Amino acid sequence: MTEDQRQTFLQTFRDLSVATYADNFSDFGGEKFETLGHEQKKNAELVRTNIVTGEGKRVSLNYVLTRNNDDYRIVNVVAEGVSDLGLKRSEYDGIIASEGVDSLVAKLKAKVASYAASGK
Amino acid sequence: MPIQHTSDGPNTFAWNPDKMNKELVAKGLLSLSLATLLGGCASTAPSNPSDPWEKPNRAFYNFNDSLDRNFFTPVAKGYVWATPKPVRAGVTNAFENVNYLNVMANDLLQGKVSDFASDSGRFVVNSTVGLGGLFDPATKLGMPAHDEDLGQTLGKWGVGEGRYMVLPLMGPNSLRDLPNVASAMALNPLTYLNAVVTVPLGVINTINMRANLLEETNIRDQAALDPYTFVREAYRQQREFKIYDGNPPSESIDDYLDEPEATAAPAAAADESSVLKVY
Repeated sequence: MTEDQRQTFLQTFRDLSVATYADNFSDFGGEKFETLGHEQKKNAELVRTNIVTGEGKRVSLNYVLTRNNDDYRIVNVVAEGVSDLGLKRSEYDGIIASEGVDSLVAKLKAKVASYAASGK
Repeated sequence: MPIQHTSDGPNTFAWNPDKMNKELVAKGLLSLSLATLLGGCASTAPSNPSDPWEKPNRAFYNFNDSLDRNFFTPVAKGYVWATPKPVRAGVTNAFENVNYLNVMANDLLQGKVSDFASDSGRFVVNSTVGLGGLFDPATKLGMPAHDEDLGQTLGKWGVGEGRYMVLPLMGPNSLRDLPNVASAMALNPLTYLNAVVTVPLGVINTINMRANLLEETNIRDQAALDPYTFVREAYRQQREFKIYDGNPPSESIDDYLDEPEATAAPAAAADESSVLKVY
């Protein structure tokens, strides 16, 4: 990956992350959170929570946070054992291997555009 | 009925139109799938070591997906529109209940004796007081549902996940999860009823299951760049999660984090996702 490609990728990925999370929060329907606990691992922290739906069904939702001084950042979300970062990694790996970085960035941009178009 | 294969002549079997048709169809499907499978093996290097059958898998995925979009999804949406939520919950409960012998058997196979006791009580209570499983009084009586199957048992016993496979109509599976298709069927009382009963029930179950997954497939359609890979990895990760009953060993936090040095491209992904600050 060239430096240019890298910068374009980073900017696109940033846009996509913001669009995705904003969109997910807009679907919020009054679910409750239970915090089950957290564990420290190297410079990261895993926070275990459940989402409790209106019918009392529990869905496991874990966050991985990293810390820079007092600045916590979410680096991954794991829902029912399915890691957001893991999925993205596999998808991006596959697309880079078969079609190249430029194609990946093009697909990411199309994704960002589709979030924007859905009006949220 | 076995079919006699000879190298120098056609297959010979007694005239029995009904049976023959089924066998021909089965044979045709088998040779079709074998051809695709072998075709896949001979092709270029697969992008994922756990998915050497990616090529035929993708073919079946696309087949399932177009059938799903053109038929099952519209039908499932119609079903959701036409039925109140409690009805769908009852249908879901009943089909889960009728599958419960398989859960109980796998409690035992995994040595979960107290789960087995609770699940036996659950099955009896929900089958009777719960009117054939339509209602779930057992949960309120302290006998919650468990999710066990033969694939999870094999995983607990240390069997590796095996190759990922997409089955026609049934979707994601793996060599380790495949035996459960047979055991779930064998331990499901509906299997032994007359087709007059099982066929309509099977149709209802399929539509109801599809309806229950509408939210998940919406997420897939929104988020996935490559839906095939998205579904495969989600399936594999969730199976792992279930084997550990929702508590995978804590080392797996490393999997959540990824190692930034591993490869060039995902490293960028790992870096960049940390830009998302918590406000």
